[in-house]
Amino acid sequence: MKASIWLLAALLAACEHSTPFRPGNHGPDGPLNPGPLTRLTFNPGEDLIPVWLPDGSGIVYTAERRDRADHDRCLAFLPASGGAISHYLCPSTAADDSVHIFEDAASRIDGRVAFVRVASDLVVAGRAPDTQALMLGSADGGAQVVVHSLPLTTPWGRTYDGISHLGWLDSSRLIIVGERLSYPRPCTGCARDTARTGLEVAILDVTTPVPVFALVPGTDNASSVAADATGDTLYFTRIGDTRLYRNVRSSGRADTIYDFGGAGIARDVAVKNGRLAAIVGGAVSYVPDSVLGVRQVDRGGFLYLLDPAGGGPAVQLGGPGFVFKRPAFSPDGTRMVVAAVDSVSTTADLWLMQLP
Amino acid sequence: MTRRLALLLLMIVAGPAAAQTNGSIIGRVRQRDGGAPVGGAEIGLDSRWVARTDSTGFYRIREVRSGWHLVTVRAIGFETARRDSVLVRAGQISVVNVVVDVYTIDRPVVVEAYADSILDPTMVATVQRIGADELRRFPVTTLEEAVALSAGAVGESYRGGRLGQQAFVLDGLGVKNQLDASTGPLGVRIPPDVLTEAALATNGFSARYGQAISGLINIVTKDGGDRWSGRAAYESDRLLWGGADLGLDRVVLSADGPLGRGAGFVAVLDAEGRLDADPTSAPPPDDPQDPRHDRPWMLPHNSGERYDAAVKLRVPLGATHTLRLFGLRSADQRLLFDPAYKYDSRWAPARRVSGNLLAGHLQRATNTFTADLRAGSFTREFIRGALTEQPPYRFGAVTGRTFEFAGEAVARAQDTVAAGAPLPGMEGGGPDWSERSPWGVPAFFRSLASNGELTWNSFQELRGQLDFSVGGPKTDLYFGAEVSRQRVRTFQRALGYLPVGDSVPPPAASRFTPTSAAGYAEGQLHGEDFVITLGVRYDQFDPGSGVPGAVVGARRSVNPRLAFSTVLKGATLVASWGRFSQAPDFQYLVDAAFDDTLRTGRFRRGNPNIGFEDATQYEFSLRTRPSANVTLRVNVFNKLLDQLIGSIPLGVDEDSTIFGNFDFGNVKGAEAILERAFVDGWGARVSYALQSAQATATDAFQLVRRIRIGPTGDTINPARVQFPLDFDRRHSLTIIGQGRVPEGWGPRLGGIQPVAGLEGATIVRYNSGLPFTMTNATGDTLLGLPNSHRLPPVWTIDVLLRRPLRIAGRQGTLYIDVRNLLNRRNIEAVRRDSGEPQIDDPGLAALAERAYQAHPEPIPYESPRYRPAADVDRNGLIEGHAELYPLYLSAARDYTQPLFSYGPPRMFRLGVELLF
Repeated sequence: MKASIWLLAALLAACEHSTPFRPGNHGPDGPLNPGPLTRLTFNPGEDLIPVWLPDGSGIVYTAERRDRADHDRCLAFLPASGGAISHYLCPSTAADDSVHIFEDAASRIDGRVAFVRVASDLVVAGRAPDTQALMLGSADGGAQVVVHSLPLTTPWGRTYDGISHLGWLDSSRLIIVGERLSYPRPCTGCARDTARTGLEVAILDVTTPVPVFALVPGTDNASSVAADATGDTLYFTRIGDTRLYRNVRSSGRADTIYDFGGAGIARDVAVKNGRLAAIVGGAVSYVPDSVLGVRQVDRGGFLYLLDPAGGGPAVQLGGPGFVFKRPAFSPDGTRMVVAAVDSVSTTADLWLMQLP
Repeated sequence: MTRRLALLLLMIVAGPAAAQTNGSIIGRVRQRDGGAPVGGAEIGLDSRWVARTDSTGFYRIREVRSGWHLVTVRAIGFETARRDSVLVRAGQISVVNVVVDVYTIDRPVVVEAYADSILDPTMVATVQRIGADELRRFPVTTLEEAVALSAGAVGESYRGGRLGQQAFVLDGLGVKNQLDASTGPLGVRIPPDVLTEAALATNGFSARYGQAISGLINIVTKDGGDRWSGRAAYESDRLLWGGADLGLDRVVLSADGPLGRGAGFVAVLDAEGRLDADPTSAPPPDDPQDPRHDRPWMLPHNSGERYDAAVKLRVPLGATHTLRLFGLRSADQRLLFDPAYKYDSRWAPARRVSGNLLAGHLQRATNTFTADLRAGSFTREFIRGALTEQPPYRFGAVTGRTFEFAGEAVARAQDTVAAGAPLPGMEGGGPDWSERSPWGVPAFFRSLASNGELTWNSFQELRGQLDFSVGGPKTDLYFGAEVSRQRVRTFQRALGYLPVGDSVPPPAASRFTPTSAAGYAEGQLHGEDFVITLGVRYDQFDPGSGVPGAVVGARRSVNPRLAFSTVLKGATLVASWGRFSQAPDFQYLVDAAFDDTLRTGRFRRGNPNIGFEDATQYEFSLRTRPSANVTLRVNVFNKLLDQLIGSIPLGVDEDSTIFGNFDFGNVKGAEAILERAFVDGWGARVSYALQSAQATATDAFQLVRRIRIGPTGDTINPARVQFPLDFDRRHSLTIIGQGRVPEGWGPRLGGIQPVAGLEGATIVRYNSGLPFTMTNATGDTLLGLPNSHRLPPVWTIDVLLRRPLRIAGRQGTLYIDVRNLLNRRNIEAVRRDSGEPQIDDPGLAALAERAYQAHPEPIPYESPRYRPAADVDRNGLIEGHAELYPLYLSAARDYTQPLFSYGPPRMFRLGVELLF
């Protein structure tokens, strides 16, 4: 009896309690219709500027939140193979009287994410955004810090109204395209549009308390930029230009590696393992304006893939009826995610394609 | 019969024993041969000689502390007699008669001892008591549960009174949460193991005590015995599974004994954790997607842990003085399940209530004069809000750490300037609609942040009491005074994730120091066959400076009390009348901003000018003893309530009110208690209460309602209409049975007798339903008077079985305690609009439709809100009413589950206990 009592006492203390119920996972865990060209998102709003997480596990992009009254645009984290967004980087819903845009994300291997944050009051809307800044946050939603507010003036005297095409060269330096922004009305009575005009490529060291800017020489009028894995070779495009340029920073060599010629203006360059992708032609216009200056209005174009080392011609990807923006290679170079508008959509969604 | 009458006469002349912590011992000393009285015999109590018999052999020992005592009688030439198990209970007379003989070797003395509070006419209070041994034998865990067994009790409401209309008296020292007793807990809990006895007095209690108009809970603690004893117990439901395992762990350690030189020491630790601290028997939902469908028994984020530790030291100072020091600390912290945070419980609210009580008692006691000087410090702190982080569980529900609340430092500092900004820990923004529910839709369920509520208050009280008791062989007089000073601090902030602004109300804070004082005198007149008890008590309280709005003076109240008792044939009849008053909760002195009132623009203005709440009670009590072991008590009472705190309109805004003393009410009823003493292995008690409790308000926080009465459609102010109080339980029946199988009885299996020594107790409760108010579907119009509808009756059966065992050479027991044995699904609340726990179908549809209309936007495939089954056309979008509305309907059904409308389910406690 003694033994049984002690055994009972031991059992009482050793047994684990049951646990309360937990919420399950209810969202989709893969694409709706898998295939070589897979639609990842179906957002009635805009899904733009996708980039891959450095480990290839997911995609970060800017998603328009139609479920919010102010239609904030947030950074959404999507599994690499599609499915449900795991989480957002987003402003609080409490401030429904202003619209916030988180865009042009660049994700670092340690989980830090650089992005541009723009905010405008909805009630008293100005012509330009109320605030813009280059931000540094973490993918898990941790604290965000302002790296530099916008507009900014570089040490060499150039003013950037905005920046885009952010990318990490290494753990401390960002590559950006400095831009001039204008807000023309496409028509009388229409809402103002944001027109971006690339100015040049710059490098930003964000490890110092005050970011240090460095100009990449020979990149004037750059409209997009991408760096290879070493960060030494840059590929870029220029506004109103059909060519694709290369700049090797260590040697200072600059050359043209491809000319799309009659296909149209090249922009949104991406690179991985020596393969390049760019958006060419399509709904793009190059407009000299006597008041606002030269600007390039881009509503998407055709997606081309080329291999400079192979020397072959550029190959157009994607089916008919698509216009694309901002392609991004997966870290292993086998897949590409791109924002696209198909023949039935009116807003951009993300598509995933297996590369040949 | 002659002897009984003689004893009754003895008791009549013995004088009152009204003091609530002490009783008295009386008796006669006679010679065996011829029954001649022995005069001049010395009477000893424990280790002191305290009295002598008079010429008739009669003696009386006054002011004997509740508990077990040794009575010794010695006289020159006679045998010394001892009785070592005389049980004295508070306010009760124990009779110890002694028959002695001239000193010889072989002729034993005869001692008979008993207490009879039933026929004792000096017992004028209506008292129902429970002793420490019963607390251990019954299926009850806390003092509150034990007191709730009393007739006329509904939880912690007594005789229809609101919560907070009762007071605790701990070893003679008043203890009350004067800040928010009507809406909050006391803050300290008395571990049952430190008790000698607890009693509920609902009328006729001594003028020594105030601060209560519905009941007085009198607690007498152990003093430390003359030998060391203790108990170690562990109880749990770990061995069980499914709904029987609610994550319970409880440890009790207690020890008491002598420290030498007459000093005694008592220490108790009682700690309990439960993963579901507020379990419910609500039925599981029909929808298999609801996580409660498969695991309906335990709610997440609903755990609780409490720690109660008490220490007492008794030090005799010479022959007549005794010093008692008592310390008690309680901490209770709870995670609170919130349906809105069902799927993101990390943001659900939590609560912590802690209290400390330090008391000192210096007593000078002789048999004719007793003086008691008591001083106490009582502190209580309450906080409710969001936690900075979820505490990890270490063992069961025990976290072993103090909860940390977002913004707690600001609240403690009452820093209303700093609180104008988003509170620390809430800067990240407010809540958003949850994406984790099975329904996905942006409605009902919250995530990302708490609701931003933070409520904190602190109550500190220093109290001093001086009590005197003067008595001779036939008279007693009690008088004394007390004074207390409180320090009250409160802080409230809503929407703490936003800065204070146009849509965000400023934080509310208050700090003031009321003082209270009281004096009393009480005595008894004895006739041949009657006793008249007369007492008067004077109370005053002053809100003090610092109360926002005004500087006010003291409020005063004089409360006479009168009782007449007489002995009829085989029965005692007591008629009593008393006036009782209590200072209002101090929370009514300051502006109230509770729950959603800050956000809706409605508020209740505090009123520093409110005064005492009063009750006048008439009662007739008949006590009889049909047989030696059976007693019957019948009480009939009528209590008039006046000056109750309620809300009255403030200006022209009918949604804004001010607290005031203007409500009145009436509670009348009858109680019958039939008891068979626990002898010959069994005992039983049956109590029944019939009552009607009505007033012009049931809750001071209720907005004034305009009520449409009669076919003419007149609209009148409810202050002119009485309706049932919230605790108006018309019928309540409680049956307690207990039994014990004799040692050595029963079949022998495997060398043991499994049922030998088995003890059992069962409690059967049947209560008619409490009242509730019905409204129309929109909730803006009352259907009938407030509280004019009734919930269905509730009943439960609780059982405790205890088997004595030898464990490691020590006496121990193994026990199982089962509450709600039949797993009865009792309905404890209903919706006002449907009269049922569940929302009705039209109401549910309306709720879902409103939610859909607020968010009709499509849900895309990649959204965490996307639910494949709802995308009927498989186009990657859940869109339109046809696809979205079913999700909103399911979400509404999930959100409106009436979890807490149902009472607790069947609950088990398996325990091992070691006595030493």
